[in-house]
Amino acid sequence: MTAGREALQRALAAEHAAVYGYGVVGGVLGEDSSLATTGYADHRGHRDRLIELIGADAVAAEPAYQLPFRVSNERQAERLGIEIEHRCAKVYAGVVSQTTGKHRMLAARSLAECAVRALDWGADPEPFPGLGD
Amino acid sequence: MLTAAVLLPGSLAAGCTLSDGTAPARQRTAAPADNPDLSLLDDAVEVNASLIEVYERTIERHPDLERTLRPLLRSHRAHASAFGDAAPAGADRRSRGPSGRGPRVPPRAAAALRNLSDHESENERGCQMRARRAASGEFARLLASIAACSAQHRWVLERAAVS
Repeated sequence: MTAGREALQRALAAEHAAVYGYGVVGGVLGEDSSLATTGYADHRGHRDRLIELIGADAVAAEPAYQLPFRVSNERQAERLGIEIEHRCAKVYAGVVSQTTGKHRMLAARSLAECAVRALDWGADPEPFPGLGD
Repeated sequence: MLTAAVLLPGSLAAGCTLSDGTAPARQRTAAPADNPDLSLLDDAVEVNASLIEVYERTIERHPDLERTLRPLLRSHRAHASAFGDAAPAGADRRSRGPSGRGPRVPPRAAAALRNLSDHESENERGCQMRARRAASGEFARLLASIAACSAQHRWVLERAAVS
């Protein structure tokens, strides 16, 4: 498998996890949370696009994911939203470095979208989104 | 610690660190003359220098906006450090109007914020296009991250403009 294809698989795995995570966020915040609803839809869209790009051997979602911390109230749900976007941004930054052409462009745009959604959840702007530790 | 030890082939920006916002001057002499990313780097440095100037002029004209704008300006200075210190000749002329007095800043604060947002949008698109064309994957990653930073700045500026 080429480095580019492996990077796309990592992005797909991250999007599977993001969709799961947004399900948790939406479960806590309720259907009235437009951030949870649009974030869930955005990550599902990216997931489906990556499955289409990768094809038959696209990595499948895990049955369940371990959350990085307990999420049982609004504040924790917002924190999870930030965490999801930061993790996806980092993965997409990696995809940028490992791919070329339209796949690199897709990753660069996805990185920017993650960076902005992180602000929606209350994160502070940062000089180098996706390049942090 | 986050480092971008080699952004471009041939040690063009060898040793560049992003964690502390400082970086050594670009080692252009160490880079191969035919490095295809050199012109992309020069473009990125030039546009970033113009953006810094627009922020500085806007803060001069609208001191009340300084609290909002100063952190964003700091990010662009960090980008300049990541790119290296050696801005290409003419970098500080690009944004100057015919009078040589620097970029025009709208007199109303909301318009000045939207003007900056337009510049950030241009930088976002430009950095993404340069990332697509870059031969070095690590350089592309840096450019894509800077594009994402500009997207965040647009978010901040647009909200400040309507508040």
